[in-house]
Amino acid sequence: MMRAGTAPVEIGRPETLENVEPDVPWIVIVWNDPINLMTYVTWVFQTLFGYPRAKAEKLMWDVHTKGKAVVSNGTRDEAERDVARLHAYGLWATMQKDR
Amino acid sequence: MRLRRGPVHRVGPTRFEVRLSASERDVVRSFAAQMRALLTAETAASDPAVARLFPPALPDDDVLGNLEYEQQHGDELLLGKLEAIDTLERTAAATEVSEDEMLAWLGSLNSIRLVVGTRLGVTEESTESDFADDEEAAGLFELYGYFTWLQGWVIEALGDRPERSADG
Repeated sequence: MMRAGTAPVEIGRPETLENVEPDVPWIVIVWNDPINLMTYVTWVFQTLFGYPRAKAEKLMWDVHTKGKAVVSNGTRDEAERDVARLHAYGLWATMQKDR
Repeated sequence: MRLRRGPVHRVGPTRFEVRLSASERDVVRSFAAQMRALLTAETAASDPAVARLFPPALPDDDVLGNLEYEQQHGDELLLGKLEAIDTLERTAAATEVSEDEMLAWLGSLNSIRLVVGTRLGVTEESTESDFADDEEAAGLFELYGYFTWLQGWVIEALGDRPERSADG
């Protein structure tokens, strides 16, 4: 991801992501890309999923530093809906069975 | 505390002021028109930049799953992007826009950056010297930087909650 240049960036304290429920079979992954802005990715996570800023920033940093992050989980239909919403915002998202 | 004001800022619960020069507005309008032309003429199969706007939902080897996803969501995703582009073009000259219009600016600026960035093959480390040998690419990278700057401020403005705008 790319920094937003002159726009000010406030980075809060990262918060631990809740554990994925063991019986939920599908996960949604967002992958790092060099174009989407870090502030934009954080904004999308907050807006789409209603995540608090700290959690959205933690997920954004995971995408940025580890190359990907699991951003949501659920049934296949729920995962597909989330992927489509992320694609509508231009994020590189995929879904897969959580093994 | 804000030491400087950007080109876009919130002026009410659902209103935003847009302060851009006439030439900046021309650039915005021109890229909106180019995006519409691209999205109507090309597909993910024919153009890698369009493919970046419509990525597969499943791992690449799940050909059938990705085909089903495209059939299920492809039209809706394309229409959403075209609608946002239309709004950007229609409001390129506006000095004040609604929240929905600002959201269309945000999405469209992101689409424009994805297309231009993919065409240029930018990385997180790209600088202008990478494109210095090619005049056209250098110009495009400068515009990419402009759209990055503008999108950054749109994100700021949208994230700036209404109750805080009064002291702006």
